[in-house]
Amino acid sequence: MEQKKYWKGLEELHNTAAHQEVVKNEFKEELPFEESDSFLGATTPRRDFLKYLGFTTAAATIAASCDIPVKKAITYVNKPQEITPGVANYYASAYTVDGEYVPLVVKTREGRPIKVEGNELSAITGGSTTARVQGSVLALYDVARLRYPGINNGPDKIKLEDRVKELTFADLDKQVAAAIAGKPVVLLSSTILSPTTKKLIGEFLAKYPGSRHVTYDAVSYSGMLLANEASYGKRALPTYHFENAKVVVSLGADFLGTWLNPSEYSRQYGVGRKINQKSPEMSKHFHFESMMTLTGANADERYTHRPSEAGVVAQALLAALGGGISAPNIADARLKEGIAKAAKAIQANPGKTLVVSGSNDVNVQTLVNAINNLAGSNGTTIDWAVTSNYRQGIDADMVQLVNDMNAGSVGALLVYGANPAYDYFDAEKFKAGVKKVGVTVSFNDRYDETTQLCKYIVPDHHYLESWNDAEGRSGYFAFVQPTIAPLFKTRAFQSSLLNWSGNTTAWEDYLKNEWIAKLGSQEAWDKTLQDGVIEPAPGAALAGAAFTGDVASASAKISAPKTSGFELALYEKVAIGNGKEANNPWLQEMPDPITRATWDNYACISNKVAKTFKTELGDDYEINAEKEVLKITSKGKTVELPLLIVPGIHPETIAIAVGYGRGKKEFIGKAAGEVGVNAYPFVSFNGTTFDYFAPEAKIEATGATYEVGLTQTHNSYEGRPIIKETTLEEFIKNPKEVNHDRAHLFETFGENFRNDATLYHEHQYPGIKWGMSIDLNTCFGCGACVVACTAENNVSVVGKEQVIKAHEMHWLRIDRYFSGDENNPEVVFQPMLCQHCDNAPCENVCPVAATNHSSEGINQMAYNRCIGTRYCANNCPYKVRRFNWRDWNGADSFDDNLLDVADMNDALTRMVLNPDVVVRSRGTMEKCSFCVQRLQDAKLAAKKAGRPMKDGEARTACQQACATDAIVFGNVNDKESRIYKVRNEEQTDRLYYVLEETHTLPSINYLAKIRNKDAAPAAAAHGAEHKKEEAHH
Amino acid sequence: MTAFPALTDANIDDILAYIGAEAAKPAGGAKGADGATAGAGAKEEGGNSLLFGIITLILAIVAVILMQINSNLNKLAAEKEGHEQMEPVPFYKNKAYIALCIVLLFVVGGYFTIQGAIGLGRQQDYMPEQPIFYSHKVHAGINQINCLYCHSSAEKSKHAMIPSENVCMNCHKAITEYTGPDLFTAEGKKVNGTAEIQKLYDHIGWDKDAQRYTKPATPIEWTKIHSLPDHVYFNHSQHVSAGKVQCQTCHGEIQNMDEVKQFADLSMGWCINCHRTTKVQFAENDYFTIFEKLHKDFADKKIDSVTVEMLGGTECQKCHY
Repeated sequence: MEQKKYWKGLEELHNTAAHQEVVKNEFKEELPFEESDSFLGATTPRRDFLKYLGFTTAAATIAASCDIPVKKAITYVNKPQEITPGVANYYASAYTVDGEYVPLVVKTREGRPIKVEGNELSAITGGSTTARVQGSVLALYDVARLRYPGINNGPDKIKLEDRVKELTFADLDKQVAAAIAGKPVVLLSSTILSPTTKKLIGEFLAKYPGSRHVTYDAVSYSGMLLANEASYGKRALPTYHFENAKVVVSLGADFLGTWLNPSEYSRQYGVGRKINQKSPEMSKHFHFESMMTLTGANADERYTHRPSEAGVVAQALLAALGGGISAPNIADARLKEGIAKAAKAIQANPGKTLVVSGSNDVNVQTLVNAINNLAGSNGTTIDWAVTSNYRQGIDADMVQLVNDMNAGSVGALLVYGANPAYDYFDAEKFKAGVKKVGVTVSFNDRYDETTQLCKYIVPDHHYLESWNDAEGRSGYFAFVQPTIAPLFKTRAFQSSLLNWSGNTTAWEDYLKNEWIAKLGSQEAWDKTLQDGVIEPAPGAALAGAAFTGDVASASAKISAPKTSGFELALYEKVAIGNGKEANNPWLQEMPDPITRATWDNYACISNKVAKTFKTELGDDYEINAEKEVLKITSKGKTVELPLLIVPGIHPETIAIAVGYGRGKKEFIGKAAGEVGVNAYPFVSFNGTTFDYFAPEAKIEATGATYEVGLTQTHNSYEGRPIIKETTLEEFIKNPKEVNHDRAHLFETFGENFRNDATLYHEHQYPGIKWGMSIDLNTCFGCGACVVACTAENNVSVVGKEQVIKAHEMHWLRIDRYFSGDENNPEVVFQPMLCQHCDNAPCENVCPVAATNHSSEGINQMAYNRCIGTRYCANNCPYKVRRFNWRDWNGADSFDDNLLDVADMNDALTRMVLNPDVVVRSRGTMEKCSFCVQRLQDAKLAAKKAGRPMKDGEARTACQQACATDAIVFGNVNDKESRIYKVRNEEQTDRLYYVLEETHTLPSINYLAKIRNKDAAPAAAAHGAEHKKEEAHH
Repeated sequence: MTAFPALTDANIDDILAYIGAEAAKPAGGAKGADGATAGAGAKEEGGNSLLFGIITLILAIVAVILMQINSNLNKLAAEKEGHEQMEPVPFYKNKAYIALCIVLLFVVGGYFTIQGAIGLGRQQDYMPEQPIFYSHKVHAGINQINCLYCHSSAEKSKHAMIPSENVCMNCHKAITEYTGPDLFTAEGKKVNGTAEIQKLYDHIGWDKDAQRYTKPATPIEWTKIHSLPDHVYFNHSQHVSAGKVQCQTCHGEIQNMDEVKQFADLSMGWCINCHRTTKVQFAENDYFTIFEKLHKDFADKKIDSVTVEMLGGTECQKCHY
């Protein structure tokens, strides 16, 4: 097969001169003297220099030799029985922020939560997590959290004690109770999954006649809720079963990244993407969207349309399936063909299809319901017997509330987990309304935009400090229990409600009593807390529902799309989401899967547009962090944002991520404060629901530039073949073809490639030989593993300035490659981490043997031996070694070396550090260790018990975080292990090693990507002469 | 005491004679892999080098005398033959001497500097004064309390853990005064044991007369003796539970110490030496079944034991991560 060309960015595609220059100079980096201007300019004569040298050497010697600090060991007075210092405890909990539902197991050390993992007892998520879930543990130690309850003095002052006058809870309760007595209260919250909290809210509101509860989701799904009510009589979300679908059609729903509950859908979708070599089959995924999203990037067939065309696409698809409406006119031939193809695939797979839509328009969603009804999805891939509670907000309720507030008819406003002053489309109106409400109370955890307006501030606990329950799907419960005593003087929101409704029961007792009544006994409750979930027995049949939607009227209401001019689309980034958890340095620094940019939002545009308004924006634009700033005007509002060219975005779409443009650093936090621009004002209300696009947009150049922290062009492979992919059809026809160059390699070097192609002696692995397999077909690039790795291994946060200098420290990165047409590219995600080569190029060049080989196949890095020559990084063909250009962690002896960009070194934040992994100091090299601390731990557990280690006991953090088990890890020497079976039995055809021809003998293999698309016409079958397939290992 | 009816009087005499003979031999050799061997070996080497040193010194003096004689004779011979003599250069202006001295100074100074630098931060024999005169000799020695009774997490965790005060009170609720042999500090000051127990009561707020807790408890701030650098991962349970190493191997004869002092220097060389020589329970522990080749060699009698090093116990990332 013709070697496909993969490119990370346009400059690489066109191989511009500037790109070549960057590649050539990848390692040529001056020492970071720019921080002190006086250093290079100083005139130090030779004699002075010698004097200083002598003095400092002597001084350092004396200073170092005289003073061994006296360390204290302070004991427990009464050691809690369950705590053994040095041994982790695990508690079940659940992440339920804004309606996402991920049951968890929380790892605590000496009473501090330091890592979360998915709870494998949950049938819904089965141990999978997302980047945001992994990052949520850091939010517990966020220094910007509010630390006590009090009365708000307004956001004029900077210091917390000036802004919020502290009150005791008793005083505050008295004041609030007096203030809200007899008034109609409105409780405004984001989606609440907790049934017990909802019961309590009901009891509370009943005490205040005329009160109501308004649910408001920053990114709303009320279009779906209302459409489902009209179509099926239930204002609810069904349960989706992507694992049952042979054909997945997504109309702009980013279900792998941000749509409803991505960890659940990623896991389900992954089932259909796994390839069984013996009978290869996989689901086929059609995707229609405007912006390139994570899900679109993983689709087999992807088509772009205008943001205003979403309804028309649904219409056309329904018409093509014979839905009784006339087909609309679609000008774009490619799009038209795509819809026809999707329709054909749906018709060929009745009852094995799932169509989902990311639109928030009731009519579009009604058409989608009709499509699913025609396709026979109800009862097969869509379950109406079990509904999902992930989003409950109805936009019109919120609009009504804001109107009521402005009319002065709201007596008291209690805000819990919602931040409309930031994310409501007409925030000014909301703010004006708040001023007319007599009593305002905020339960939010920080001094955010809405809290700034509220009189009383009663900060809620972080979820890791809380008691709670959650009903993700109907009948599926998860439980939240405290894993640490509250760090600050905060109080559970529910305790406040109990108190103010005159109930003297403590919240944890209220919750416990509720559940003991349901479960029958204390023992059952204890067991429930231990498991973390209660779920119905598996195997219940899925149920459909009778479709009663009015297709004709819904179709008639779909507005005609615009045919020319720019349109604006708003989207959520995988790491940042709706912006609530934006103040998280881990998430801010995680490169966006598509744009590979960190720490900012920007205007995503196509290359075509970029060229039209500024011709000198050539192909080399991506290697410079400096981006042209665009002025974007829509709906009479203007923002200025740097541009970013995204291949695959609709040519006339400008996409902006929401979740940025928060307030002052002092209020929101150092990571999210004053970063990016708020895009929520571009949301509009169409009378029923919010629209997350604007059909009118204007862009102008401003002449200014702005630096964006892109990681895109770092770590170039200079076009060497590191990705292998083929189509499903081709793979069935000729499974060896995808690896024909590998067969060729063995032919050239003889049977024993491993030993014969080297001068070095072979390492012996007498006991364990660790190995990893990464399936490119089930890696969707979501980044959960990147954040999990960061959390597990104390990987440093370096900040935007340093990212621009390619100093990011991620041990595991997910490379995103485009291939094919730059307007409709195909995308491959490749997790890249230390390959732990058996014949490692880095080991040979280290002058001090700081990096060397272990008898278990780990390429080990001894930080304290490293003298920072960086030879190893220069010699690593995979570019996975990371150098500490600065002291990010306070590990140096000299305080002045510290560079702390986002309060990561505050004593509070440092509580998140994993005590089993050392923090690295300036001037040392670091890289993936295969989570050696976990391997050692698993080995020790087996050794202490005197039994053989079982496969699966030792798991790396990335493997555990992965929703789809794309990463398999284990002992290759163990013939019963999963990794051995993958390599030698299950996936022999797709297995390859990156840059195998260099004979580095990596310990990580990849499985070639398979696309379920029509075979490329150029695919020549010349694999016949490469029949000889070598059994490697 | 167990009786040994199988042994005859003659046997016992033989044994006693053997013990007497062995005891008369210089220490070393018999104790196996613990620190005593290394110490004794070092002493023996020291004795030899002293001998060599003396011989070298004597030879050097003889050489210098001979050189001096030779030079004087030359001078006399030259004078006798009537040659003109240069004024002799005093030795402190002789460039050869100066160069030699500088080189010597550099080598010797460098050696001591490096030795000193390696020792920086190490604190063998460190014996700080503790807030309470807690005698391990009284507890672990005289009263034979198992180490793991107090340091219970040594077999579960990486930390051996200084016991919390409630563990002390398990016994000291009842034991309120010290009646054992006199206690002395390292400086020879007499210690009142009962007063030290009272210090514990003061910390935990116990009223021994009323037999109840009357005051809020405060933790005791012990001075930490054994400190490893942050970049070292050390796990007690690995050594105690899996390796079955005795506490005394690393901590010395703790049961005889009134005040604890650091027995080993806790240097990497010290760790590595032990890992090189210590034999693991290879055949007994099923964990090691994965080491098939070693098992085969073991069965074939190619090797008679498996050391920690053979299992990769001296690799960097076994302790540094």
